[in-house]
Amino acid sequence: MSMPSESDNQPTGTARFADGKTAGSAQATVVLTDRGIAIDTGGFAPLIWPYGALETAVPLSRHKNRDALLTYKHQPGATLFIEDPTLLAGLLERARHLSTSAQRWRWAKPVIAGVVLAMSIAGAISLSNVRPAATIAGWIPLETREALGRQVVASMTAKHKRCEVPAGAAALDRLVTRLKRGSDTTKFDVRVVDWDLVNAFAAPGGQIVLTRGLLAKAGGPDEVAAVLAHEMGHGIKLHPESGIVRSLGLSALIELMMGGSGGTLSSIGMLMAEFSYSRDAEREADAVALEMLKGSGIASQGLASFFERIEEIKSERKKGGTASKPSGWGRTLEVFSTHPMTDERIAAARKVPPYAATPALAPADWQALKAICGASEDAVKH
Amino acid sequence: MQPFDQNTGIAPAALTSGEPLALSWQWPRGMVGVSIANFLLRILTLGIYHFWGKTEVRRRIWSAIRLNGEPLTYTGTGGELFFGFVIVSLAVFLPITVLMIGVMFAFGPESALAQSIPGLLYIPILFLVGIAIYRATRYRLARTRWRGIRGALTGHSGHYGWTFFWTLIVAGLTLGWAVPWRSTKLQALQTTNMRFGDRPLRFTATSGPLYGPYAVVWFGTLLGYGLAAAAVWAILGDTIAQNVIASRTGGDPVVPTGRQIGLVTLSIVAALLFLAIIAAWYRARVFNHFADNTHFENATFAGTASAGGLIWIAVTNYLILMVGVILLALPAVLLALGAARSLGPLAENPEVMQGVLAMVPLAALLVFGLGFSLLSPVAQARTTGYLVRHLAVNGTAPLAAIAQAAGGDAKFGEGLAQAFDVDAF
Repeated sequence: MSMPSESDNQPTGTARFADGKTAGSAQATVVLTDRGIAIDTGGFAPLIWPYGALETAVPLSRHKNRDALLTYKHQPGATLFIEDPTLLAGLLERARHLSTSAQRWRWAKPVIAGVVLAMSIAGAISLSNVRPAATIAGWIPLETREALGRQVVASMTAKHKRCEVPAGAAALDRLVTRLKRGSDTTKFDVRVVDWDLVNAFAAPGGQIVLTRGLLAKAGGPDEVAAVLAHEMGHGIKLHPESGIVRSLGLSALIELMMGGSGGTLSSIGMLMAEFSYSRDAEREADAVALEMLKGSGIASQGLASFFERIEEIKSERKKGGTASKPSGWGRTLEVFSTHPMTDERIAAARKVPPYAATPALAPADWQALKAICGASEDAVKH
Repeated sequence: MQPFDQNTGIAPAALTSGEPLALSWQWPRGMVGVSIANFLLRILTLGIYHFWGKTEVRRRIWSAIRLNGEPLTYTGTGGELFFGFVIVSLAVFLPITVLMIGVMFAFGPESALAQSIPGLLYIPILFLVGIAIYRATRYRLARTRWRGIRGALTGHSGHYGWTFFWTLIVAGLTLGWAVPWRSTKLQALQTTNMRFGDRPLRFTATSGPLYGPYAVVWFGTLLGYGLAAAAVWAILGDTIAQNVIASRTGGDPVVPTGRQIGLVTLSIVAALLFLAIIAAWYRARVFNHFADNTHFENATFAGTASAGGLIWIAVTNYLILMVGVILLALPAVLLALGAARSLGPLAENPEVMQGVLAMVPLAALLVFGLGFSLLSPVAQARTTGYLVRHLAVNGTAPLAAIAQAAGGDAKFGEGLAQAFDVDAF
């Protein structure tokens, strides 16, 4: 039996060795030598497992370990089960990488690096002009976008009929045609719905909805033209399509990242993303609208004065109690995303130098448009 | 002195005669530390460390299970779990999402087809749940070693998935009376396909002995619900009747008194408690019955789990998990108060305050969810510990003759189980 000498502070003890070929095991004499851990089961020359290639089933604690199960990278299956306190105490000094913190850091490092990398890429994309969602939205054929838009409009206005009094429809048509002069030739389908709410929105495929409430509260045809131009701006920039692509992509990604366990986190993330996105989109749509109004010779003041009117309505509604307020997140987003921005947007609209402009609609057309739903008693019944 | 075997250095006598087996549990140390470290790393990596954290927890729990004093080892890695999940997301969830979007685009979100798809998907998903359970077991066994010898699960997950699916329908059609037969059948499918090295486990249980206990559960459930309903009616019957009359005649509705509400709550809680007790009692019976009929070589397992033990573990685990919620809620509340103070004059704007308040329930939900998972490694160790301490193995096995089986390394097998949340550990 050729045992290494126990001199020079080389801890020696016993352990159980299994070769990993069968479930049998044998008593072994173990010495922590300078070269590695020497295992002698009695029959042959002792095995030497260098410390650097050792692994443990469970990382070693800095303080006290009851036992340790060692494996060796280059002898898969073989195990050494150590309970000897002398050996345990000497092991961690010679193989620091077996400690809990070392192992955890080894595991976490690539994960943290991956997350940092992914976030840097995402950050770079959001800072650059590359807009993946907008790019993908541009790939969707027009027919599909229109079909999708019809579905969106149908579901959002399900309880409100479309207003189609012919004189009003003709006036609306003239306004749309005039505005389109100030832009490229994107196709638009604009409708008014019989709805009290002061609202306007753009759906995919150039479909735009204005409400009767908006026409009633607007201070004149220039304001309606400005709102319409703003919504057309959303349509031209494919904002509704991008929004759908973005939320689908984001929810899929977050679901993937969170291992299906990120329900709440994913909804918060999506809301945050949509919230920051919508501010940019509003700015962009305003810019397009101002161009459009100028191109078609309509005063840009309408945009600013409509914003001011909305602010007034909001403060009145606040005094007047709780009538028809959106609740929960809708409310929160309204507060956080649009409220602080309104001043900035009004200022941007006011900054446009004056140019030659005529009213957006002739007085008769304006009256006809206001009566497009035919609801009030003085309007022409169809 | 006898000559040693050339490869193992083990006396040949051990090759033929069996060695006695003994199962034990050695409490893993440092589980609270592991819980906290994993939690922080999970937050830092937006949740992705989850898979590595889970791996570390498993390594510690596996290592606490001792056969003849030597630990089981878990050799799975976080990367395997992570890629398994990514693969399943791409192979299962991506097609489902694409299908849903496609139908929405083609027929519209309000169409009958788009509305019925989630319902239709329920059928293949039930089938996939069975497959997921089987594959997860296979992955875990393939990554479990003792003295370097691997466990394995042979057989086809598709066969198990199909059996899982159709027996579930039978269980429904028989108003639950097929449940003992079903669980025995499914357990047999798993256990008879389990291997340690090149040796199979054997399973000899029949469902007959489970029917007595199951009848108690079945009628007990009926009784529990019945008594609860009767109690509610006795307490609130008059109030309900008066309200029905009031709604017809236009009179004022009658509000139940605090005492009535308290009594109703009490009777419902009592009924649920009763149901939990008989359910735990049945589960202990099933665990013991299956253990008593599981054999390996010349050894047989023996289960000694009890209803009281299972309930104790469940209740104390719940309390431990709630400690995590409290630990997280304290800093969260302080943070929220700090944020509220930093709002300053904005706080006087009722719109801003409304917006802030609207976020409170969501934030509370998040804190609760994260806090509840904080100490889950401790709870998992306690549950496993209970089961191992109430599982004995009596008899012998010729350990030195049990050889490593060739092949049998499952890869990325657990993604589906993770996806459907059927992970037991």
